[in-house]
Amino acid sequence: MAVRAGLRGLFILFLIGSPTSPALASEEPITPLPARVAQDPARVAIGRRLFNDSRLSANGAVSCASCHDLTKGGADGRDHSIGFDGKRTTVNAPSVFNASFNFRQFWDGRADSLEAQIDVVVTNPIEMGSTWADVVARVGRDPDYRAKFAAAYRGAVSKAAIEDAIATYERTLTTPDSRFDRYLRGERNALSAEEEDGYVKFKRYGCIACHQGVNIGGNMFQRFGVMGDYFSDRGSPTDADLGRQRVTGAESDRHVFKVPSLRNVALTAPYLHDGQARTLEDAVRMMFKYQLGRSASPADTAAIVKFLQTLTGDQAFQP
Amino acid sequence: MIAQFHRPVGQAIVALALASILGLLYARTRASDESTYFEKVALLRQIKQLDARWDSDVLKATMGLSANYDRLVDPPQELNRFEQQVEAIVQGEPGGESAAVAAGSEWLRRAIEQKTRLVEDFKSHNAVRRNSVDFLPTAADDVRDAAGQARGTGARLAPMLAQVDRVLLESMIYARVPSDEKAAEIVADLEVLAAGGARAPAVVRAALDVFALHVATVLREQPMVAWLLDDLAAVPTAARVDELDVLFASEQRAAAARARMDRIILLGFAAALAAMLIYATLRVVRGHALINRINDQLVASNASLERRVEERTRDLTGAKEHREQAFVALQGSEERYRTLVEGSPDAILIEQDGCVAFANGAAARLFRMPTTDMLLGRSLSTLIAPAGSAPAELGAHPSSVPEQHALLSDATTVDLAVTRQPLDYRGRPAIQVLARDISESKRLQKELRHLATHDALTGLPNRVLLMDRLNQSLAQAKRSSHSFVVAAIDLDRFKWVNDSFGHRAGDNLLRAIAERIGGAVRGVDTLARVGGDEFVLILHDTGNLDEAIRLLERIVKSVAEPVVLDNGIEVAISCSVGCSAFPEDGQDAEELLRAADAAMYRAKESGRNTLQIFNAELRSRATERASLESDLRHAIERGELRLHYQPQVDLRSGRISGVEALLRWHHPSRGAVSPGLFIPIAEASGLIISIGEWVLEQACRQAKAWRDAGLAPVRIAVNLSAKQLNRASVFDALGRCLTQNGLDPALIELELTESASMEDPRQTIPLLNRLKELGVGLAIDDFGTGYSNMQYLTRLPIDTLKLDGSFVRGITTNPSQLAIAEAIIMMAHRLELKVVAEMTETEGQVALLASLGCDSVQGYFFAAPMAADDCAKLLRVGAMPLPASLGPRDATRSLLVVDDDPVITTALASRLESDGFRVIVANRTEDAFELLARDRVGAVLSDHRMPGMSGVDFLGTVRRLYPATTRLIFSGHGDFDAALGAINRGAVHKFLEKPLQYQQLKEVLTQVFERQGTPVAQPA
Repeated sequence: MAVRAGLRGLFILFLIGSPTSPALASEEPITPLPARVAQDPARVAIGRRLFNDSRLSANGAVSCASCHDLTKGGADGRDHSIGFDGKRTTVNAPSVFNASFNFRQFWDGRADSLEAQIDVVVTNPIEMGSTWADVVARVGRDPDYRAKFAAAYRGAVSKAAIEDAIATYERTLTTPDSRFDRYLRGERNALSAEEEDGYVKFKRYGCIACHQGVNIGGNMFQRFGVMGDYFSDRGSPTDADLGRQRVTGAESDRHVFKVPSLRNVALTAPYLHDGQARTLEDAVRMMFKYQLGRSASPADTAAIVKFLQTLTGDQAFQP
Repeated sequence: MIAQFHRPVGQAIVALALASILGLLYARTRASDESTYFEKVALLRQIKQLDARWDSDVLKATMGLSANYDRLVDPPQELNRFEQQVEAIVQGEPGGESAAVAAGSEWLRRAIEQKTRLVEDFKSHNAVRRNSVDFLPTAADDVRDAAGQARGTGARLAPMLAQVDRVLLESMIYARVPSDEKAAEIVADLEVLAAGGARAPAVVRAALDVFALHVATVLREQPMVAWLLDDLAAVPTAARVDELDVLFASEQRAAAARARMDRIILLGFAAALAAMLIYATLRVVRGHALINRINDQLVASNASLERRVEERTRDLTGAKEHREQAFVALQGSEERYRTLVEGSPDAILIEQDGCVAFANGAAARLFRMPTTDMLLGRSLSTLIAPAGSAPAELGAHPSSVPEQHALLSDATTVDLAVTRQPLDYRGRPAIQVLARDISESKRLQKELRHLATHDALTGLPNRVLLMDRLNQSLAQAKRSSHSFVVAAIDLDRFKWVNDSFGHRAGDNLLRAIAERIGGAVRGVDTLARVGGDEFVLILHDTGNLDEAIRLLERIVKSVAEPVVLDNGIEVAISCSVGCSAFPEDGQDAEELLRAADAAMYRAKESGRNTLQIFNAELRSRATERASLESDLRHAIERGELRLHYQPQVDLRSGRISGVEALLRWHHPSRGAVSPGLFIPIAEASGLIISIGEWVLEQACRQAKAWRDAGLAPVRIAVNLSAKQLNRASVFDALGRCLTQNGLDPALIELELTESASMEDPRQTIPLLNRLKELGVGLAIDDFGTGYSNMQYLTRLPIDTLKLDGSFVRGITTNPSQLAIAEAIIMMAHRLELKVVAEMTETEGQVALLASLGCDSVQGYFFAAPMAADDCAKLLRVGAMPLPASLGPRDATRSLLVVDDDPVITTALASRLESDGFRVIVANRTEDAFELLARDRVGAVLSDHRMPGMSGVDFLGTVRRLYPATTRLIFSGHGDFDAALGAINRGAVHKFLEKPLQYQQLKEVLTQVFERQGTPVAQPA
C-alpha cells in the first residue's frame, strides 16, 4: 500500500512539466511587476494616515514613515535607523516598496505577513516601544479615527483593524513600470545597449541565481558568505549577524538572510543588513566576492550598476 | 372538574411543543454532518493537489525548467490555510475534535512544516549549485586568459591548461550525472592541477584558485541538492492527508450510525408523545361524560398515581438509553483507535526504557517477524540503525530522520523514513517511533528521474535532454568561437522490420543499432533518440568538418552491417544521415536540427544508406514528399482511402465495447502506403482537415449502416488531429455527420494524441469542452509517451485513456513498465476514466492487464484491424471468447518449472503431477514470463544455467514482478556463490543442488505450499 502511494506520487512528479513548451524555455527569470491593484479606499485612507502617525510609538517620536520615507525609496538612507528614544536599530531598514511581494518580512524572515511585521515593529523596544493597549487607546481617542474605523471595519478601533489598515495601504505601495519592466514587456528600446549588457552580465555571473522572480529577490533565503567569510573579514560580530539562526535556532541557519529585493535599489543606499556597502558599486563588489566567489572587473561592475539603475519604478504616491 | 379539564390540555400543549422540537432535531441531524464531511474531504483533496503541484515545481526548478522560485513561495501558506480550515470545521462540529483527528492534524502540520523547511534549504543550495555550474566554463576561460597574458610561460603552462579542460569537462559531466566515482576522479585531478599550478605566475594561480573553488562547490552542492530532493520525496504529506481522509470517513460512518440511532429514539419519543396526546384528548371527552359521578379525591389520587408511574417509566427508559449510548460511544472510540493503529501502513512502535513496549502489525511485517510479540522487549537499536550520522537528538518536537536503514532479522537492510515523538505511555514517558519502508519509492524516484530525460528502450538521452545539451553546446561554441556538427540519423525501412518481424524484433534492432552508433562516437559527443527510428548526434569541438564527415561515414557503414536478433534472424538495415554545422548552417538549435533533417531527407531520396551534408540547394527541396502530397490530394476523390476497424474487447465480459476506425491508403502505383508515412504529410500540408472530415463522415455512415443491418449499437473511436481541433469547421462537420445519420453522439469517441491535447492545454480545454457538449466521447491516445501535465489532465473533459502499446509490450517482463502501466491504470480510475490498452498481443499481457483492472484491450491477440464487412461479422456475435486465464486461479500446490532442457522439464512435471502438484513448464525465460502473466503459481523453480538470462537474474525479475511467489533455483556446485548472493539479496528463497534429488525437491515444495497456506494474491 505504501509502495503504491509512493509510486502514485512519484509518477505524478514524473509526468508533470512539459519541456516541449517553448514558452517555458525562453522564460525570463525576472517577471515584471503587475499594475497596482486597487484596495478598499476607506481602509487605504486610514492606513495612510496611520503610516504617518507618530502616535504608534511610545512617546510620539516616530511613525512608520520615519524609517520608510516614500521620497527616499521607501527607506531612510541611514545605515541603521533611529528608534523612538534615539537608539540605533540592529539592522538597515529595508524598503517598504513592493514589500507585499516578499515571501517573508524582515532580514531574518521572522514575520510571515505584513500584518505580523507591523505587530513586531510597534512593540519592538528599540523601534516604537509601544504596547497595543496603549496604541489602540491613543488612536481610539481620536473621534475622526473612530468614525472612519466604524465605517470601514464596522467596529471599534482594534489591533487587528490597525494592522489590516496599514498592511492594506502598504499593498498599494508598489512601483510598476520601471524601465526594465517595460523592457521585459517587449519594449526593447527601454534599455540602452550598456544597460542591456549589464543585464546579460547579471545573469551570466550568477546574480540571477538568487535575485530572480517578480521582486528580483525576496522569495528565498541564502547564506551571506557562501564563498568567503564576510563576518570574520568585517570583524566586530553582532547578534543580528546570526540572521535566521535567531529565529530557527538551527546551526545551518547561521548568517542566513532573506535575499533582498533589488527593485528601486538605486534609491536605497546604504546596502546589506549592516549597511556596510555605501554605494551600489561597493555592494556589487562585495556580492561578487562573498556570494559568487570571484572578483568583478571595473567594467563588469559598472555595467551591472547601470542595469540596477533601470529597476527604479513609478514613485508617484499620494502623500 | 376544572383541574381535571386543564391538566390534559396542558399535557397536550407540552406534548405538541416537544414533538415539534424533536421533529426539528431530527431534520437537523440529517443535514449538518454530511455537508461538513464533504467540505473536509474537499479541502483534503485541495491539500493533496497543491502538495503535488509544489512537488512538481520543485522538480522543475531542479531541472532548470522554471526560471525563478516564485511558484515555490505560496504553497506552504496555502497548505496551512487549508489545514486550518479543516480544523475549524472539525472543531465546529457537534462532537468537537477527537484525539485521533487532533493527532492526525498535528502530524500533517509537522509534515508541512518539515517540507517548507526542506524547500527553503533546497532553494538556497540549488542557487549556489547553479551559480557554480553556470560559471565554471567562464572560470576556465579566465585561467586560459591569465596564462595567455603571462608571457614566455606558454609552453610550460600547456599541460596545466589541458588539466583545467579535463577537470572542466569532468565537472560538467558530474553536474549532469553525479556519481561517487566521478567525484573521486575530480578530486584527484584537482590535486594534480594544484601541484601543476604551484609554479605558475601569481595571476594564473589566482584564476586557478577561483576555478578550483567553484569545482569544489559543485562537488559539495550537487549531492546536497540530491539529498534534499530525496528528503523532500520522503516527507509523508500525502500519506498524512490519506490518514486523515480515512479517519474522517470512519468517524463519519460512526456518526451516521449514531445519528441513525438518535433518529430512531427521536421517532420513538414522538410516537409516545402522540399517543399521550390521543390519550389525553380521550380523557377529556370521557371526563365530560362521567363528570358528575366522579369523586374529586379519587381523581386526585388517580392522577398522582399516574404521574408517579409515568415518571418512573421515564426514569427507567432514560437511564437505559444513557447506558447504551455511553457503551456504543466507548466501543466506537476504542475501535477507531485500534483500526487506526493496526490498519496503519506505517510501522508504529513504542519504546520505553530502551525496549520495545508496543508494536503494530505493520511493524512485525516490516521486520519480518511472524508476530508482534517477537518485537516486544527488544532494544530498538538492534532493529533500526542510522544510515550515516549520529542518531538524532530527541527534543520536545518529533524529529524526523528521513533515511535510516533497518537491520532486519534476515540480515538485509531497507531504507526507512523514521519519525520519533515523545509521548506518555501507560503513565510513563516513552517514545513513539513511526517507520515507513521507502526503499521502493527511492528506487522508483531515481528511475523516473532518469526516465524523464532518457529514452526507455535504448537508455539514450531523449529529446528533452538533447535540446538541453544542444543549447549548452551552442552557448559554449559561441563563447569560444568553436564549431560543432549536428547529425540527424534515420533508419531506412525500419517500419518494414517492425511490420514483418514484430515489435519485439524492432526494439531489439533499435537497441543494437543504438549501441553500434554509441560505440563509434567519443564520450563527449551526445547521441539521443528523438523518435521511433530517429537519432540525433552532436559532435563537439570538431576541428575541421572533414573529421566529422569521416566519423559519420563510418557510422553509415557500421549500421549497414547485418544484425542478428534475439530470435536468431539476421536483419540488414541501413541508415540515412544528414548533417549541419554551427555556425554555417544555423544560429540556434531549431535551425540546426531543421537543416540536419532536410539533409537527411535528401539522403533518403538519393537512395538511402548514405550521408548528406546540408547545402543551400536543400533549402528549396520539392521532391518525393511533394509528389506523395499531390497524390494524397486526390486520394479521397479517387476512392483510394478506406477505413478499417479494430475491436476493443471488454476484459470483464468479453463484449466488444467499441471499435477504432483506422485509415488505410491504397496508392494506385505504390500499393498500400503506411499511415506512418502519409499522415505526417497530411498534417504538414493541411490535407488532414479534409481527410479528417472524410474519416468522421465514413465512420458515422458505417455506424448507421451497421444499425440498419440490425446490429447492436457499437461505439466507434475516430482519431482527431490537433490541426482539426483548432479549426471551427470540425464542430460543424461533426454535428452534420451525427444528424444526417441520425446517430446517438455517444456512439462516436474522438481520440486525441497526448501531445496534441497537452501542447497548449489552456487553448485545448475549451475546444474539448465544446466537443463534449455535442455529446461525443473523448479519449487520449498513446497515453504515457508524451509529457502530461497532471493539473490539466484532471481538467480535460475526457472519458478514456488509451495506454500506449510501448508499455503494454514490456509489461510481462519488465517490472518498471508493469509499475508504470499499473500507475496509469490506478490514476485513471481515480480520475474516473476508462483505460483501453493498445497493441495487446499475447495472452499473458491480456491476463496481467485484466488483473490490474484495465477495462478493455485492443490488439492482435483478439483481432487485427479489418474491413467493415468482416468487422460486422464479429459484431453480430458481439463478444470474443476471453482466455481461461482471466478467470479465478488457484495458486495452491502449483508451480512453474523453467529449464532449457525439455527432457528435464517433462520428467519433473510428470513426477510432480503424480504427487498432486499442478505443474506448468517453460524452456525459455521469455515463455516463462508469458506463462507467469497468464497463470497464478505459488512457486517458480528455475535452472540457473539458462541461455540469454541467468536463472538468478530471471528470478530477480520475477521477484519484482510477483513478490508473493516463492522462488527456487537449482544448479551445479560451481554456481553456488551466485545462488548464495541471490538468496541474500532476496531474489531466491532456496537453492537446490544438481543433480536434483527428487525426494528433497518434493519435501521443499510441500513445505513451501504448507507455509503459503492460502492462495497468494498477485501481482503486488
